[in-house]
Amino acid sequence: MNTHRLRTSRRNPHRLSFLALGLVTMLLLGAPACSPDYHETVGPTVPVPNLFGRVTREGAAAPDLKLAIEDSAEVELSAARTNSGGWFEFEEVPAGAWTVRIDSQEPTDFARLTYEFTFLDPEAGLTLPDLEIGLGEFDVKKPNEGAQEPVPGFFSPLEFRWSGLGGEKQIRFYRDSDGAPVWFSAKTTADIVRWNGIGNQGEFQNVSVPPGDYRWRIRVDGAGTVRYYTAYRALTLEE
Amino acid sequence: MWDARAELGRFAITGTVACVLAAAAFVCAQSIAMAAGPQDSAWPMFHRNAKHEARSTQPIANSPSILWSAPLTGAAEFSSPAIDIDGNIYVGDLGEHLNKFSPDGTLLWSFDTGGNLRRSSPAIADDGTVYVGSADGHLYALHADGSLDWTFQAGAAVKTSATIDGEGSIYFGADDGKVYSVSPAGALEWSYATGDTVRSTPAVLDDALIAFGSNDGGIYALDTSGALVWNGFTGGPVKAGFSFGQGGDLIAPSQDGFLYALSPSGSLQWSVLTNNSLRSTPAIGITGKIYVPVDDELHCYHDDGNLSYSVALGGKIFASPAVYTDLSDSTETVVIGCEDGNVYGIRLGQILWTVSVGAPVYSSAAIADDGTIYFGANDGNLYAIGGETADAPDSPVVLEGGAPQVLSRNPVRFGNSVSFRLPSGADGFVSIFDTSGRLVRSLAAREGEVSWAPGADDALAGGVYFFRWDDGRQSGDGRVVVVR
Repeated sequence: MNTHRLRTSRRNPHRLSFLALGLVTMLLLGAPACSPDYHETVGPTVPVPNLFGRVTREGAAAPDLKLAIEDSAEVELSAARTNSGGWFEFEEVPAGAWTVRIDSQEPTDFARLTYEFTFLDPEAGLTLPDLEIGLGEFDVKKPNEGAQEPVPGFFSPLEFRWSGLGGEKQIRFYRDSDGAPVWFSAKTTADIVRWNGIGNQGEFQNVSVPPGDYRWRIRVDGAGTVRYYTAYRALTLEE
Repeated sequence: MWDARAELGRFAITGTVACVLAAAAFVCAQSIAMAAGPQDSAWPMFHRNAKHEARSTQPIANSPSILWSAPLTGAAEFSSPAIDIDGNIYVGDLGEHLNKFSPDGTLLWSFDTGGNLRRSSPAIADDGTVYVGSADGHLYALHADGSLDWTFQAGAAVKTSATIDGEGSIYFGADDGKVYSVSPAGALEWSYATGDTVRSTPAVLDDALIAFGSNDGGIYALDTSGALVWNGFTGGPVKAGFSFGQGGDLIAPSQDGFLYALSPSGSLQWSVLTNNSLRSTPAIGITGKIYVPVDDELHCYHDDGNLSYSVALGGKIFASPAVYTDLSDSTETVVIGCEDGNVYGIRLGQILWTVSVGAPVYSSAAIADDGTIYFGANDGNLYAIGGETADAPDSPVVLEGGAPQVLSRNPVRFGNSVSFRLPSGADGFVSIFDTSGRLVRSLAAREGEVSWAPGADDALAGGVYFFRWDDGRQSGDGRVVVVR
């Protein structure tokens, strides 16, 4: 991991607690040679958090959630968890375009939230806006988890319904066995999407979906670059 | 695909009722005022006719330039010009006005509708009445002099163009999710409710089948009484207008990224995945080719859905294409506006020419009898482009294989030819199909005449063949028996 020399200048209040913790740790280790150099002289380095944020659920702290920061190719840079106050931090994040990914197992949460941002000044650090992961009023109506439905067709489409929450929605439909994408709907602000069973992804492009086991979820475009993903639901298509 | 077997049955009754119908039509024409269909002008409505073919046989310039531009009261976004029998041009704008211009660009009048005409193109009836929908929720009927005839109130903003069928009924959609049929007198004939807003201008096949899409993802086909004939679903909103192909297939773009072809009975013939949200109405070439904008490319498909070519333009394409067909060789020039501020002429997969107007062009082009091309632009102007036209062919097309005969010489033997004379005597085409509906030949007619010599260069079996003729204003069909 890249490190920066510890500096006394701090522009973010959340850094204070982590700075104190680092200093105490070094003192306890009894390593005078590792004392930070407050006078810009050469000395040892320690990782410095420079990206901060908070995850909320219905406005309250959302503790113990897994987070990761990824680049545009979805390659993970580092991982973290929210603390009891819902706060998280990442150390030594370099400048660039990044995505914070938050995963939740709570049934009252979206299963995943992503937030894309551009990090311009690692020295200055950055505090992200609060990220609300609670489902709130959003309710996925159908098909139900584990539903069995006829293979859809032009005259007998498969219906996906939901309610609550603005923003554009997109159904993402996958083969269950290997997660191969089958069909992504057009984005819509409506509360229903119908699908005639013709795939548009990978090997399913322009192919009628065969019977079998599938899973699907809804992607919701939130404010700015926030994206929400519902938990996968299993679905069996029958002859 | 055209249902040739169904045609067989239809022809069986044609002979017995034709005289009766003709006599009845004559009596009706003499005794009562016929309902007004679309005007017999070069481009009386959006995409030229109720089938939305957007095809003209009037030669356009080899390398057009701007002839004139005239200011509107706002941008002409998706409102596309209509041209009347005298060559006058009607176009709507975001400034809430429907405008009428003379062929030299003089503003004749401008009518304030009270709502923008962003997505509404005018349609001109046979008696000169002009219909246009407005975002104020009304369909307006204006006399040719710009005075108001009547208004019809829909349940919400009207953001489709109006389509006039052969009986004079006017069809349009509205944001209340309904498609309306209104009589030439302004009375509601019927309305049909879908599950979401309707932005798809209805297309009409043979005054019998009305097809349109809805933001609920549906493709709807109604009969002329407003009864649902069939309804299927795509995977996304359907905002584009549809077109009917040469064989009667409905060509339906959807924002799910697919281009669908459905028979008039609703069976899915083929689908093409473009991976782009399709929002423009396709144009139909004389040989059945389908021209569809896909993002920043123009795609040309054969009538079986196979890609013929694609051409990348300089920006996204929101306009719908118009097509000029050169009857001497059936080649086609596609005219289409682009977000990059250019209007393009594309032929056989190559960009022939561009005309820059410096502002995005979402408006679809209309082609006049003299080959002048009209379109609106987002800079708030109506443009006329033209110039020296291509040379007309030297002589009528006569195929080899024996002396041309009139259609009464039927059956026709191999080595002889059968000649077709279109009733109007105008330029057009005749397409020959076998009994499975497969297109065998497409023939260009000059001044209403064309001949076909089966066996001369076609590896055909003897038997029944069907033909459809179309001169751009009228169409019909018939059959030919070929004997060896």
